[in-house]
Amino acid sequence: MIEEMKKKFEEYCAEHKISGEEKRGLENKLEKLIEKAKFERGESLGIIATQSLSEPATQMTMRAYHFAASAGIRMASGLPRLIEVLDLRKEVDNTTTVYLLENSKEKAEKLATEITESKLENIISDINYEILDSQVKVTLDKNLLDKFYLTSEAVIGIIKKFVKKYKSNLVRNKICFDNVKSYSEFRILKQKLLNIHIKGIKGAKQIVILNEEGEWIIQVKGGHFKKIILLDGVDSTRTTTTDIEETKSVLGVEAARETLVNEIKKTLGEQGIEVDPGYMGVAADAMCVNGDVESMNRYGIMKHKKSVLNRLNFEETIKVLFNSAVSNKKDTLSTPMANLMIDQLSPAGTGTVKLKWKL
Amino acid sequence: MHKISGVEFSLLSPTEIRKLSVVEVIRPELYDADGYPVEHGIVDPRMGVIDPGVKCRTCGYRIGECMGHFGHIDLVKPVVHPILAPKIYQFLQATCEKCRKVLAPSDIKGLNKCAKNAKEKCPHCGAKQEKVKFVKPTTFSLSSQELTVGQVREWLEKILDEDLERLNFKGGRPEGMIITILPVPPITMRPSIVLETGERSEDDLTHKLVDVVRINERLKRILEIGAPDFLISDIIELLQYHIATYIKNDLTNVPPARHRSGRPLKTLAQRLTGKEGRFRFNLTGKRVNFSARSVISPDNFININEIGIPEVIAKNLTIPEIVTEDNIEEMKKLILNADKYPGANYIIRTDNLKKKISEETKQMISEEIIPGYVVERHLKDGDWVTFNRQPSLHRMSILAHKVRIMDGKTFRIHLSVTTPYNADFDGDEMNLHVPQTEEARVELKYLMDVNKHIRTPRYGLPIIGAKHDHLIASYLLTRDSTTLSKKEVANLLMSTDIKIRLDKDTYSGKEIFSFLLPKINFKGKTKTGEELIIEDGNLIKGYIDKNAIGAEKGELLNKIELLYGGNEAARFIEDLIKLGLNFTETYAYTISLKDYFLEEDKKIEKIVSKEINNFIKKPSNETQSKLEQIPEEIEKLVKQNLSKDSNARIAAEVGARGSLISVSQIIGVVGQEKLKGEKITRGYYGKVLPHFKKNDVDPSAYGFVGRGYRKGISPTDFFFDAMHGREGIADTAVKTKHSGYLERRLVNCLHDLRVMQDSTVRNEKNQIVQFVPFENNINPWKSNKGKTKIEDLL
Repeated sequence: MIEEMKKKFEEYCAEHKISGEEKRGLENKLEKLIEKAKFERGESLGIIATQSLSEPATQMTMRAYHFAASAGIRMASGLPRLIEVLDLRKEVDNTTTVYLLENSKEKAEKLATEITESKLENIISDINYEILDSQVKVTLDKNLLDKFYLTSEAVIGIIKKFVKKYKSNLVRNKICFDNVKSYSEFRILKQKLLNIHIKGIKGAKQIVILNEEGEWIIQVKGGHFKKIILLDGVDSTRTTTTDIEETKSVLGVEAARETLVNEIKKTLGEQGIEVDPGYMGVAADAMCVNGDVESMNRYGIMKHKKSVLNRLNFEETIKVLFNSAVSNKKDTLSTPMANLMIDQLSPAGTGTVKLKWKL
Repeated sequence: MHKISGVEFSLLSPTEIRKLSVVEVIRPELYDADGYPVEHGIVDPRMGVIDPGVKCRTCGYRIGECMGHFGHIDLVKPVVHPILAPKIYQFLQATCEKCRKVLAPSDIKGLNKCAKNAKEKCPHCGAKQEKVKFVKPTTFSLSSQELTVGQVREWLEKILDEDLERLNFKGGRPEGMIITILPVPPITMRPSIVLETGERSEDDLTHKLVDVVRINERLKRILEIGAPDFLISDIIELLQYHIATYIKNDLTNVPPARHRSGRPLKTLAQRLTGKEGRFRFNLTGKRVNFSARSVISPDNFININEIGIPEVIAKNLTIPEIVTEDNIEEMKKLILNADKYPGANYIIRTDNLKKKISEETKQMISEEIIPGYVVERHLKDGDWVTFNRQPSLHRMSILAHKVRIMDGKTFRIHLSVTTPYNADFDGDEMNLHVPQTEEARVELKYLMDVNKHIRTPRYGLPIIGAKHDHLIASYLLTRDSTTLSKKEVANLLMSTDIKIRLDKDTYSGKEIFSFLLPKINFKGKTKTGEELIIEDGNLIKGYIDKNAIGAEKGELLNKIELLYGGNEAARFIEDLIKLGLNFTETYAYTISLKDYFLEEDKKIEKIVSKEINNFIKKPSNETQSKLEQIPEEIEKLVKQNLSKDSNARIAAEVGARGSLISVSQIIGVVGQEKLKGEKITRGYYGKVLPHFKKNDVDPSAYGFVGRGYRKGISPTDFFFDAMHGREGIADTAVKTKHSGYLERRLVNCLHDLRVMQDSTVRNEKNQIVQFVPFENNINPWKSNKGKTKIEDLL
């Protein structure tokens, strides 16, 4: 950081032709400014981070959802979203934003077909049972096939894997199944056929192609991050998801921390609330200290607290009390909360030092 | 005083309970016929004193000094601890019914896991295991044969110590989870209250203990006379019930014990839990002395770090001052004043005895004092006190002010300091605290001073700054057209302490503003995007608005604070406000209906009717969103055409009050009223209000208000407006709840993170959370928006 400042300073001096005595004076001042801006020892950074995040939270809207861009992917926003993120809620509408290696609309559309879950029912125009021949005929839609970059041969290849009971063959763009004996058999077969997964990622239903400042991106609702970044043509270095757990399992804790910070930043930013990103970093780091992402509640960070008094003060007092008694826990009074409770000076701020001269 | 170094938690064993006890409680009565407490009764006086003037029979101390002493009840039959019953169940599952050794494979540790992985055949003695059943709250059975509590206790007794270690049970022996001897808490923790009628009203715990003792004694008698088994087991069950509810009165499957009036009793567990429980109500939040509360009102002519305090309050809040040779005369004067204002209330002698100063005693006391005595004197000008407004959402909710004694009965604060407190003067009350130690006073002065908290740590811009009228005044003063004569300038400067020689006959407003500035260079933008240039402490170009000096924004103020410190920044705002208000008093400013007229009225109507027609012709998302964009279009129109002299416009553009959107809602169109972010569609079948036709296509039937407030809106429009307003109110009510809980969770999770002496951020376990705070070690509180820039220096 200091090197960075120095470089900037040199550049500035060169630009404004400052040198000699004047430069030295300025450098001195700059060093003082940097020194002054440092965090003081003993600062209760955690509490200030809390206040910086939760004080503006009182000004946020309660409105739970908003619609991303024009395209209508529903996303949680405002206070509910902030709570969702800090709680690491599981049932959440996540979105994955896909960046492309090649920036073109065609590429984006092609990639979208690879992501979108398409079943057989999405690419056929007709399905018929001809009783006389005991034959089922599935008519593939040529246009739709082109749209999904599929060939009829490929489709029948997939279908053969799933339907083994009946012989199937391709006649022009129709797939025929022989020996379907009764109407009820046809109905079962039809149900099965329509649900056959042909292409794309299972569960990826809502997909939007957007143009963001000249760049084509794809937004996928519901995450599927792991599968998406493995696809060809996806810029896996920039593709992100809002799913913190999945980021952790795919890219690791550091990435999850980054996602946490970004998500908090985004939700606060949408509401026009200014908070120094450093505080979000502190909160995210606290959630990730143990190499895993922990939530900001009794199931996460609080569960792993050493201080019994701190946990007693929080939630499930009786449960914590008895479990601590049974396992003979000791509170060593290392937290401000515990010291507050037994009426002693907290080890924070001016409480970290002793007075030489007792008053 | 010794420092407490830790708090340990474990189970009390029966021997420990017996050791603690000063009396065995065997009689269920409380008082005898004469009203004296019964010996060996539940309020036996050996367990502590609650009446003033009585000495404790155990320790000899008086009320307030004696902490109270435990007694005990010897239970005739053992009873299961209702909260530990699930733990006992796990022990029964985890250990062999024959040899009492752990059933799980030897690599499994922990009670929970061992209970789950118990083998059906004992690996030690080979006995086949029956299923242990547990019926809430306290019944255990082995192969459908109910186990007596005595049997359970025997089982637990036989569990080996080394197995306990493996099961991670360290807080004592497991048979301690079966209650054989019940500690009776001291009466000091369950005091009785004497009602107005002279009756005594006992605490819930006492009531419950009466039940326990009564049943216990009955059980003892019944066993002695050898009553039939069913009777005995009934009584045992009753004893179990009373002890269970004595410990926790909201157990599942157990009806709560009730008071005679039908109110459920508040027993041990309920005393501790929740917001009103011991932990959150009494241990983390404590009541204090030396505090005051009153309504606040504004005073622009005190400094921002001052507070006006009424004399009545100053007379009741005191500061302990140690008598020295230097101040003894002064102290004597104060004592002689007694309760007349600059006086004193108490003295504390060197032997710690406190004496009240009154008209009668003042003469004697003033002669008595010698260095080393402490005089509790009234608050006086210049003392440091803290001031606080709830909800205390950030650290700027409690700041230190310098006292100024004033007439009246309200606290007076400077207008600029309302932003950190989020206060207004519509009846808000605030709290005041007077520090009682020298350390505290020093911390107030050097750490909590208002002047040191001009910038918020949240994003590194001033939170204290000019507001409302001050901004309008600064604009009127510094806009290009303002020129003032020498006399006027002299009058204006009188309101500040600035002494300057006036050589010219006329001065521009910019020049006058420059008198207030320290030597500073600044380049910025006004709210409307015009350039603002200050060179060498002179305002060269542009005018002063919210972006320069406003609360939560002021970049210029930020720079002054950064370069010259908080005191100079405070002085700057104070002077500016005083001067500005003086200025607006002579150059009146008001907003009237005249400020809301636009030549282009017809144009607005045209836009609205065009979009409405478009929607009616083809109702769709696009035409709807066009409708919703009308206010923005009108805002543009207002921006282009509303006279620059419109006072409403000035207020909005300077950042004093309102916005161009609300101006255009008054002049032009209110726009689409929304509920939950969408147009209003709920109500009657096919329509929203009874006044409309069914399936009306007109947007005004779904909350589109096509007129402005100036022209007036129709009753239905008004109703839609109110719906929207109601939603907002409901929203804030729910929101505070959620954000409050979020804050509580965050505080509990993060409050242990501190910057240590080696500048790392660590948590309670001494784990490093960040090697360098914020990764760049730049505190936004002490820098420009969390950055150090070279521009800050120039």
